[in-house]
Amino acid sequence: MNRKFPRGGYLGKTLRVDLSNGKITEESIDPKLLYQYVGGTGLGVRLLYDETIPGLDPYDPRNRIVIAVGPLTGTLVPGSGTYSINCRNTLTGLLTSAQSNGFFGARLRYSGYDVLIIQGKSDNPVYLYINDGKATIEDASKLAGKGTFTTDQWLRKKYGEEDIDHHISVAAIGPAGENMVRFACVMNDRGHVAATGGVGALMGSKGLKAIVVHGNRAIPIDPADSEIFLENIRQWRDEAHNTAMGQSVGRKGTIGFYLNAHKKGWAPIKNLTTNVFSETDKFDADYIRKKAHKSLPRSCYQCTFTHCHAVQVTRGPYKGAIGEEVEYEILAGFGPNWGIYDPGTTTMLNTLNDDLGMDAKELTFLISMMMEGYEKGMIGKKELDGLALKWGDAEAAAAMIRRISRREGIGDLLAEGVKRSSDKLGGEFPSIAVYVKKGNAPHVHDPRSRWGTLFNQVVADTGSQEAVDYTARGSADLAIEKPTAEPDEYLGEVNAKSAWWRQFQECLLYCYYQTASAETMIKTLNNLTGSDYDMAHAMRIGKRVVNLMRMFNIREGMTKEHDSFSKRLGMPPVDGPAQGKSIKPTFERVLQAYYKMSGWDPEGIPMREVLEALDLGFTIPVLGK
Amino acid sequence: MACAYANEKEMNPSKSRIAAIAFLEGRYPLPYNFVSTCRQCADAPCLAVCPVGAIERIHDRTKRVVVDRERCIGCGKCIDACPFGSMLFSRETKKAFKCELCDGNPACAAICPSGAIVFRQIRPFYAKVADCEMKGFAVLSQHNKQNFNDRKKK
Repeated sequence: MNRKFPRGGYLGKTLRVDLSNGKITEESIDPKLLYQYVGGTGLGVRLLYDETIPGLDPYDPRNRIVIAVGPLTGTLVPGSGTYSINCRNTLTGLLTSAQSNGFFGARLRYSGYDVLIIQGKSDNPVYLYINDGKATIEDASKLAGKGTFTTDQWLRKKYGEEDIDHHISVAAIGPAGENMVRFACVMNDRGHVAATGGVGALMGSKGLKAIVVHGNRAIPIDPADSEIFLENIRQWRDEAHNTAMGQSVGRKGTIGFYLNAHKKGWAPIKNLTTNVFSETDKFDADYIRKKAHKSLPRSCYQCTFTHCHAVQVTRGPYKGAIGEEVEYEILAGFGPNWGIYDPGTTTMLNTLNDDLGMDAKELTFLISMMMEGYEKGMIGKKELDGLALKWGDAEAAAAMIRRISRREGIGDLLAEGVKRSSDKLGGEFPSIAVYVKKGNAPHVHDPRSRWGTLFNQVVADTGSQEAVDYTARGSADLAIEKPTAEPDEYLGEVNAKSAWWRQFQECLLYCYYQTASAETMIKTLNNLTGSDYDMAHAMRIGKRVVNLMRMFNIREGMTKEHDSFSKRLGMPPVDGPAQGKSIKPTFERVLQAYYKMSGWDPEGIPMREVLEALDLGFTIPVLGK
Repeated sequence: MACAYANEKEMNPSKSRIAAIAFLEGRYPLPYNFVSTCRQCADAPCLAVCPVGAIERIHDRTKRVVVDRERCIGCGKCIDACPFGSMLFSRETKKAFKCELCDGNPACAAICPSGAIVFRQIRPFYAKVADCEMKGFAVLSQHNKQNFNDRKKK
């Protein structure tokens, strides 16, 4: 640290809310931690590690929820409205870390805090209101059972009437979170979701319905840096706007990825039982944007292009349905994966699910599993409470989604997630279930031939978080020169690097689609906070976070057995472009290469000297003798 | 944000002179995106009501209306007078401030990615009574509208 650190960027304040006794305290953050972890996910996981009692049930009131933002959040950096929720994964009992875009992260900072720690449990539903450094716990009994959209609107109205601008952001859980559906999500700013690992269920278990942030505070910057900062921001915006990804997402949204993925056999269809369907022309992004929907841009904070849209369906059986434009994963998940081949229907289902507040990836593989089970006669209409879950039956799927969110009948069983419910159902169900072995459903791809994506979800310590898959295209920033198309040792090495880089990005917290070159990003960060990072240092920070996450999970009893995938994910595709391909035969080799690159032993446990070199010496007692 | 940064050297959107508003309520989910800022009215009501003459028009290419912060006494009359809620009040300095077009090179137009904000010459703008009735300007009460009508009569 050459210059004074931190010069700017950080507010340096934590808000601790104990819901058991209603105590709210303000704490400062150690600058040394800020330097080591930057902020965001890294800082959040570190604080969580320090405060977590090992071995607790996920719903134990002593568990913490750590919501953290990075030094760039809420500044002029494009896509910097992002925040990160770190807590215990309700599906697995291990760690989870979920990020969401929108405005919430930025407004959390304007209200005065970098980190928000929630602990304890309230007996009645409450919500937290933070305004300009003042926080209060308010009664939310009126909002009990209400969907996320209604909650958002009610709270905005309550606090936003006097202003012409929307200065308020609400992050809320829906009925699914209140009923502790294990994969409930947190929804902020209407349609932006922190989904992975049941963060909503944990919020529900604490009786916290919503968090409202509202503030007018400035993010500090040293006046001497301000001109250069603006110059860096311009460069970042230019680069982000002009990447191939930026151009494509800006023009077509992420639905533009669908046909490409389908051509390679990467889009899941009917619970991974097939890879072909005939109505592909309905899944063309131009058709969806221009013909099947009427849409208007609804930008996130500091977006450099218009990715998010609000839409109304103009064609098909659900003409008139309204909601947010679906993303690629939901288009695939609530569409072909359930045998539904109409984009308008996916919009309807997405709106329903957003309102109830559940993680789409867990839900899609859960319902597709039940549909396959029903079609194959493994489960009857009677056991499904009279619902005939045929492929393509959107009404039945919608009814099932509602039941799961209320934990009614069979919904109570399914609300436990893919792994748990397939184990409980028994029979053939475990062999058709799609999940990675820690117990989370993977992101909505058919990853069986997309090895990089499958592999980084398998080894992810936050459930099934995806890192950017550089295996297919290489990356100059990460010194990954040649792309790879084979599941070999090189895949493991590339994945280790991309996992570190991903975690560094999560420490900065900005929208992934607004990525500039590594040099510009690090330069901007250094300029704002006065740090002296370079590329190697940034990768070390990422590696530190990856190792800390692993140590968190090892402390909770994770073993090498967890770094694997379910039987269905190991089966080669039966048709389509990727027919017969599988990572399974070489998986162990790839895994060992990944462990070696990460500095872990063959059992996936970090070596002591690696931990010490990463300033993680305090975790060594977990390893025992 | 770019506005607050350019004018106040602060990353604080509440100091922005321009507001991007998405009307969601009642009309969800097809929001109506709207950008509100000073229109530099030709018959600027703020300029007319200022009791100390702190608001003046710069007679350059932009014909913009600016606040002399030295002379402003912070009475708030101009804020009441503006039909668009574009005259703002700084809680710190206790003085009025508004969009002054960044001396002819607005930061908002420079940063706008979609081309929705552009800076160009248009014909002089005259505020109408109907402008007071625009939905969404919560700061504009019936009271403001009455004020405006009275002024027009005079």
